[in-house]
This record gives sequence, structure tokens and C-alpha cells, in this order.
Amino acid sequence: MASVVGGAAAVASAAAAAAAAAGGAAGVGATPHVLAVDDSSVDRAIIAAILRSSRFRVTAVESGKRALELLGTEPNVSMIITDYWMPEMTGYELLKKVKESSKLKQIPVVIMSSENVSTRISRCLEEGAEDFLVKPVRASDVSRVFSRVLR
Amino acid sequence: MDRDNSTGMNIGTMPWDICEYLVTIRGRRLVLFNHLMSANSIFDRVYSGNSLDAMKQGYLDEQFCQVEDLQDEASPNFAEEVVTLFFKDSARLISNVEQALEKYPKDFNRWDAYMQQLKGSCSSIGASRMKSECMSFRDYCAQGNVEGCMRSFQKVKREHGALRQKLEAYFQLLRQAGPAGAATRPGM
Repeated sequence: MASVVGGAAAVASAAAAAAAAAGGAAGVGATPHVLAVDDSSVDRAIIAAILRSSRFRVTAVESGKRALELLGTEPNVSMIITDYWMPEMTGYELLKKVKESSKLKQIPVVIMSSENVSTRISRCLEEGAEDFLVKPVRASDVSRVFSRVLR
Repeated sequence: MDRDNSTGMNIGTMPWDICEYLVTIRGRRLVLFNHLMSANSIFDRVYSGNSLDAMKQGYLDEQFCQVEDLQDEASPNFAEEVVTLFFKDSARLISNVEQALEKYPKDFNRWDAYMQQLKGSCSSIGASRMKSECMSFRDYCAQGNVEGCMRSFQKVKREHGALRQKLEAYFQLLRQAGPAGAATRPGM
């Protein structure tokens, strides 16, 4: 990593910061930043409002692709909450990509789905998801999961 | 005008003092809710004190309460904003189903996939009657029953239209009732 050329330096330092943030504490007193991923605009609005009412900082995006772009540039994401069924990249595929990435794998991932399919749930948990919430998601579900995971 | 066939009450001309009184019961917009949710008289629901029962029969369920509960000073119109998003989304999804029914005969998987999205949206805002009809449609898809799908799709569209009317009237009523509704909500 000796050579430094503009963008490469930015990426390297963002990666280092992400690793530090993910590996260490989110920062005493820092507001956790949650990334919400859902292709439905209705669900995005609701999950974002639930998270904000729990005093989290939220970024809501509509696809796994956008989520990965953001994760590449944003160093301090404390948690990812994603819908399962999305076109192009499912929540499961996003989960796998996060867990396969050395700089992202520490970030806890929660999956949401309107369908309560036990094989789907166990597959996600096996892949490293923290929890699986059945939609429609309620504020109480979110605060229960997040307070456990972000303790 | 805004005549509700089930209650026979014209909410467009309901006396405002009654509206305001009803709005302040238990600090929630309980009765306006019940109007949307109940097939029976508003007053029965108020005095029976059992709003859950009404919700099961009506257009909206508890999930709508969850959405309303997310309103606060920072997002005072949150419920209406979400409902607006819902109708924008649902119009598009209904149109997708409609086109698929025409262009892709007997493509039950495709029809089901579109309807699954619509059902998801209904579920998120608590649109229970519409959600039921979506589920019927999906059942017919699973059975490979074209006629059943066509019939239940018409019902989905009817429930969609009825829900839109109810919610438009509901939010208009809230606007006209003014700060009384918001001011009496206990801090939650």
C-alpha cells in the first residue's frame, strides 16, 4: 500500500476507517448509523421512521447494489437491515457479500421478510444474519433486536 | 358525497363538535379510525370500548396504528405521507398485474409475483381488506384458476378504490379537526 494515487488513497483510508469502526466500538456517545435496504418505498419510509424514533441515524436505499456502493464509501455503518426479496440482488445475496468482505463482515445484518419460511430463516442465520424479522415490522421488534445487537 | 354505505353516515357533513369530541376520546383518533374500520355504528364502537374488534372487520388493522404512532413533531404528517407513497406504488403494481393478465395468459408465476408485491405494501400500512383480496388472488394462482384470478383481481381493484376514498376523507377530516386531534394525544 506504499503507492498513493488520489482515489486509491481515499479508498484505502476509507477501508481502514471502516475496519476500525467495525472492529472496535461504534464510539462512545456516537449515534449508530443504520443502513436500511428495501425496494418498496412504503417499507423504506416505515423502517426509516422506526429507526429514527429509536434515535438512530438512518440511510435508506432501494437496492443491494446501492447498499454496497454506500458501504464502500461510508466508514461507520453500525448495522444493516435489509428486505429479503428484492429484484437483482436479494437480501440473502447482500448478506453473503457483506460476510465475505473482510472490511464489512463485522457489521451485523438483520433480514426482513413478509414470508415466514423456516428454511429461508435458517439459511440466513447460518450465513451470519443476526436476526430475521417478519413483516410488517413493528417498532417493538426493531428495538428488541437492535438493543441486543448493538449493546 | 362522502356517504359511507355501511354506516349511512355522511362524514362530509358530520357536526364538527361531535367530531372533535370523538377525536379526543382516549387521546387518540379512535372514532375516526372506527369509522374506517367498523361496519357498524360509530357510537356502538365508542361505547363498547373494543376497537380491536372493529379493526378485524374493517378496512384497516393494527398496523395502521403502528404507522400513525410514528408521527411526531419532526414528522407530523408521516401517516399521510406513507399512505401517499402506498397509493403511488399500488397504482403501479395494479397496472402491472392488469397488463400481465392480458399479455401473459396463464402465467400464474408472473401474476403471483406481481401480486405478492402489492400484498406486501397492503400489509405494511395495515390495509387488511385489500390484503385479503390479494391473498385470494394468490390462492387462485396457486390453483391455476384463471377465472378465479380475474374475479379476485376485480375485487382487489374495488377494495383499492374504496380504501383510497376512506383514507382521503379521513385525512381531510383530520386536517379540518385541526390541532385538537394532535394536542390531546398523550405523549407516547
